[in-house]
Amino acid sequence: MKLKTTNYMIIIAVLLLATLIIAGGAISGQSSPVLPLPPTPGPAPTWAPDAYISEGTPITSRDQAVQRALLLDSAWTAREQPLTEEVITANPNMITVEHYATRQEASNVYRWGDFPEPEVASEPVWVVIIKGKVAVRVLGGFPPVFTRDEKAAFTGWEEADGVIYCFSQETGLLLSLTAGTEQK
Amino acid sequence: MRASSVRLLGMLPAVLFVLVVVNIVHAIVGGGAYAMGYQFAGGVRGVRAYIWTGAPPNGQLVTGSPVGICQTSVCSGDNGKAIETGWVKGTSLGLGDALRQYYAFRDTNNSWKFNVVNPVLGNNTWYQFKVLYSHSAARWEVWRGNDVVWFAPHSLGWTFGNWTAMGSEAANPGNWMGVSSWHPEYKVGSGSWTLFNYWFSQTAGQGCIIPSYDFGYHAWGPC
Repeated sequence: MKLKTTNYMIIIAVLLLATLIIAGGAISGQSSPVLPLPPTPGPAPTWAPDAYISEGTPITSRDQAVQRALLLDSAWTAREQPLTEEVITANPNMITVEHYATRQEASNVYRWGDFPEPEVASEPVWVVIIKGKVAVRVLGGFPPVFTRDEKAAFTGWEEADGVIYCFSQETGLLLSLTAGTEQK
Repeated sequence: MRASSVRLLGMLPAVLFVLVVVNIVHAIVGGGAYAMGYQFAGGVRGVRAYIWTGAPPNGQLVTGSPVGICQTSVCSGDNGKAIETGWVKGTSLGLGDALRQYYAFRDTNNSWKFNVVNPVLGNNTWYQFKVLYSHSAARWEVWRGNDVVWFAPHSLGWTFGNWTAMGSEAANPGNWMGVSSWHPEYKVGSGSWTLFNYWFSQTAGQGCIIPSYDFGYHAWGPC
């Protein structure tokens, strides 16, 4: 009887430890969330003055645009075949680079929409298209509402025939990402 | 201690090793992390909320504070359409790792389009983000405060949704998430704005969401 009790206690201890590891994300190195104080309804929210991006590195050539796209592609996509220099060399039509005088011009081609704010619409951009079957990380996109018991159905990834990146020429920052390569 | 107990103790490192590996694999292949609150609103044509930017840490792959409208409860994938906006920050957005507004939508050709709008947003600031179908202009729009920052260039094939959605998301389970919001409202048809508390929550990948106070929520992770 005493042996059984000891065994049960050991099993319970292991399960508790395992639960702590998984639920607490102990191996991820993340600290516990610190809940901010709930905001107090009352005065209207204050607005910080807008500031333009001062960070980032300008993109001044097609090669730089491709390099920037490949850098971010490793974060945004998963490919059956990694995009190595050999793969790109062997498939010269895989990557296309375009330059547009304004973001709105590029948007008209790739259907990203209209930008009423002149400073947004007018900035010069680079567009890099990488063709090939790919799984794209979908930022944005909500999990289905009723999938509590089937969470695996929503992975946050989307299959596409390629990816279109759009970068600010001035700052080098990503402005647009499309899962799919179809134009207007 | 009896031999069987010793054997069980001896298995402890192996069990822990397996659990750690399982957790790592889960983190790699599990997709994003989500903490969403949903509210059914048949015929919804607008949703807006004040969202706190806080001070998201640098060095995250990407994290954001979506608020938007789903056409149906499916929300995503080939059969689900949504339009959303909010703040976003992360290294995968470029070298600046800056805090900015984004909008995303599924186009009529089924492609998912994610876009970032300059300028840089301020830390520790309340912004009101809004998705709206404009009756007068007959188009979907995204707002920040009193400004339209984007509108759809063509019909997206739907003019109202049935669910509002809002919360927090990150690139991978275990990544930092942190969104506070208050005064969420939705608008049906051309009616007035209705204050609401989300009715249904959906979390995945170590995301959590709670109605931390009336007409507000806090979404965070890992949790």
